Amino acid sequence: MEVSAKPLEFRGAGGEYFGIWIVNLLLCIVTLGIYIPWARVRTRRYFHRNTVLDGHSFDYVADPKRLLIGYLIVGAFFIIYMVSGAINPLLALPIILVFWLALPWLRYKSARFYASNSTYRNLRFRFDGTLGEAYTAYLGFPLLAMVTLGLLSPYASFKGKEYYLGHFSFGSFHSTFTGKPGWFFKVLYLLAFGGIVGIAVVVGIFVTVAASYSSGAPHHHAGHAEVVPSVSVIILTLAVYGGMFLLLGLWLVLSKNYCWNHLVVNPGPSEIAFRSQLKVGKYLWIVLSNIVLTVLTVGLFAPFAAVRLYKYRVTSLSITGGAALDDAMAVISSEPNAIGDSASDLFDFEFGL
Amino acid sequence: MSTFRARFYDGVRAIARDASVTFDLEARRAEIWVDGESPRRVAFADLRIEPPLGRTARRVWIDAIAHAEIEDSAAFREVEKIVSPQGWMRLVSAAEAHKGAIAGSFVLLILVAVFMLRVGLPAMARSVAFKLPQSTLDSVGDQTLKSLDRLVLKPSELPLSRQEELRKKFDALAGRVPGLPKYRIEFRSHFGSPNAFALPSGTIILTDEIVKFAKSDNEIFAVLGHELGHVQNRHGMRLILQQTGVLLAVSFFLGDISGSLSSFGALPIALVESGYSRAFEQEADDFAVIFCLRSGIGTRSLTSLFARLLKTHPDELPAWFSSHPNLSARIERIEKVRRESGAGTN
Repeated sequence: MEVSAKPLEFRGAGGEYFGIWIVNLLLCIVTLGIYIPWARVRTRRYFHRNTVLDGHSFDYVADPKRLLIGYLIVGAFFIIYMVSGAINPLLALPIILVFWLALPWLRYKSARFYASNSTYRNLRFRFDGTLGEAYTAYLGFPLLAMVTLGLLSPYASFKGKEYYLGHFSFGSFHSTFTGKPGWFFKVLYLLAFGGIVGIAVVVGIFVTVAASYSSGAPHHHAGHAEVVPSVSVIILTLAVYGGMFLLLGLWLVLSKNYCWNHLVVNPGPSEIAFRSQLKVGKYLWIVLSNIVLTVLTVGLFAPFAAVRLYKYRVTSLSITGGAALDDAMAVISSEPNAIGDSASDLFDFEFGL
Repeated sequence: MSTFRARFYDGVRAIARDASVTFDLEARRAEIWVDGESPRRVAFADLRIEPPLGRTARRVWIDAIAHAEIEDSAAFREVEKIVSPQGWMRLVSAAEAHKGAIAGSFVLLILVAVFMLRVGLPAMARSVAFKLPQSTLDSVGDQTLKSLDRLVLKPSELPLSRQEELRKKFDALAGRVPGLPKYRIEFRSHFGSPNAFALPSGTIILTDEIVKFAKSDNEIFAVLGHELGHVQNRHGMRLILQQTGVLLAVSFFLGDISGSLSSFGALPIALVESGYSRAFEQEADDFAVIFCLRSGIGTRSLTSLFARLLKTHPDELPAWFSSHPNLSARIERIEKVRRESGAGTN
C-alpha cells in the first residue's frame, strides 16, 4: 500500500481565467443577471477541472437551469431585504429572522447540491447529513452559544464543522471529522482575548490623541477644524478593520489547516488522510495584496486574485492513502435541487473547505 | 477517419482506462476502444462534446454517465466542428479565448458601467424615490438626523427665541407660495462652516454659522427656499438610493455582498459629506428663484449671499473638477432664470 503524500496541483492561470471572467461578466450584465448561473457553473468548472490529484481532475457538473430558479427566489428575497434595510433597518428585522431560521436548511441544501455536482474521476461526491442534524448544528448550538453570551460559541463552531465535514462520501467511502472541541475553545478564546486587548489599545491611543487635540489651539481655521475629527475617524476605522482582518485571517488559516488535518476518509487500514500547510503570513499577504490590486485596477485584477488565492489553497494540500480511491464505486442517489446552492453563493457562506 | 488517444471514465468505478476514440466522418459515428473490451460504437448525434474550457482536457460523453477525456488539439477541434457544430455555449467558449472578443468585452463593460452610473442608476433612483410614501422618507430622514447628531453635528447655540422667530417668519412667507412640500427647520452647529442641508423627510438643518453669516433674514429664507428645492425633488432620497446601487454593484463584482451590508450605516453621512451633483444643485436653485419671487423676498437675497460666500469661501476646485457647480456660475444662472421667468427688477 502506498503511504507517500500526494500534493494537489492547480493547472489554471490568471491570464487564461481573465478571458473567461470578462466574457461571462459581460454576459451577466447584458442579460440583466439571467446568465449568472451559467457564469457561476462555468467558473466553478474551470477551477474544478484545473484541480488535479494523482493525474485526475475534478469537475463540476451542475445544470445552470436548476440554479437559475434558486437564484430568482433568493435574489428576490435579497432585494426585498436590501430595500427594506435602506428604508428602515427595523423593517429588515423580520426578514433577517426568517433568513436566520431558514439558514440551516439552506446550508443543508447547499452542501447536498454542491457535493452531488462535484465529481472526481467521473464519480459524484455526496453529502448525507440530515436536515435535523443541520438544525442542531447550525441553529441549536449557535442559540446555546448566544444564551451563554458566546462562552460556548467554540463548541457551536466545532459542531458546525463536525456536521459539514463528517458527512461527505465519495463512492462507498465516507468522511469522518476527528477534530476535538478542545482545540476550538483554545484557539477561539485566545483570538477573542487578542481582539479585546487590541480594542483596548486602539481606544486608549485614540482617547489620548483626541484629548491632546481638544486642549490644543483654540482658533482653528474653519477648514482645519473639520479635518481633525475625520482624520482620526479614518485612522480608527483602519485600525479596527486591520485588527479584524488579522484575527479573521488567523482563524481562517488555522481552522482550515486543522479541519483538513482532522479529516479522514474511509477510516481503517486503507484510510485517506489530508495535510493542509497554509501559512498565516503568506495567506494574509495574498488576500491583502489581492484586495489592494483589485481596487487599484478597478476590479480588473479580480480574476488573477481568484486564481492566486485558490492556487495557494489547493497546492498547500496533500493527500495520503489516495491509492485506495481506485476501489471507489459509484452509489446511485437522487439529485438534490439547487436553491441552497444559489443562496450560499449570494450570501457567501464559509464552509471551511 | 481520425483517431485520438483518450482516458475512459465509465462513471461506475473510480479508475481511468487507456482508450482510443476514432471518429468516422463518413459513417458519422465514433468508435471507442477501451483496452481489453469490444469497441463501443456511438452515432455522432448521440455523442456530446463539451465546449473547450481553458486548456483543460476535452470531455466526450458517450452516454449519460460515461465519458472519454481527450487532450485539446487543433486536430480535435477540426473533428469537433463536424461532430457537434452547434450550440451558443460554443460561441461563449470561443469568445473566452479570443483576444479580440476579450478586448471587446472589456470596452463594452466600461461603456455599460459608465452608462449605468450616469444614466441608468440616477433614472432608477428617481423613479423609486418618487414612488416611496412620505412615511418612508420620514423614517429615513429621522435616522439620518440621528446619525448626523451623533457624528458630525453639535447642538445649536442660537437663542431659542431667535430660532422661533426665524421659524415663524419663514412659515408666514411659505404661506404665500402654493404647493410647497412638508418641511421642518432645525438648528445645529457644524464645525464653523456656514451650511444648510435638507433631509429626505423635509427636515432642513441650518447651521449657526449660516444664520450668523447672513446679513438679513431674507438671505436665510432664500437659502431655505433652495433647500426646499432639494426636498421637493427628493434629492436626498435619490442620492441615498444611487449610492446604495453603486455599493451593491461594486460588492457584487468584487464578490462580497456580506461586506456591503455592514456599511449601510455610513450612507447618511455620505449624504452630507459628498454633497449633491451639479444637476441637483441647479434644480434646487431654480426652485429657490421661484420661491423668492412668489414669496416676495426677491432673488437678490439669494445672489448676494452666494456672492459673499464666494468672497469668504472661494471654491477650492474649479467646477469641471468638482461635482459641485461653482458659486459664480450659479449666481449667473440664477439671474438668467429670474429674467426668463419674466420678473421685474428685485
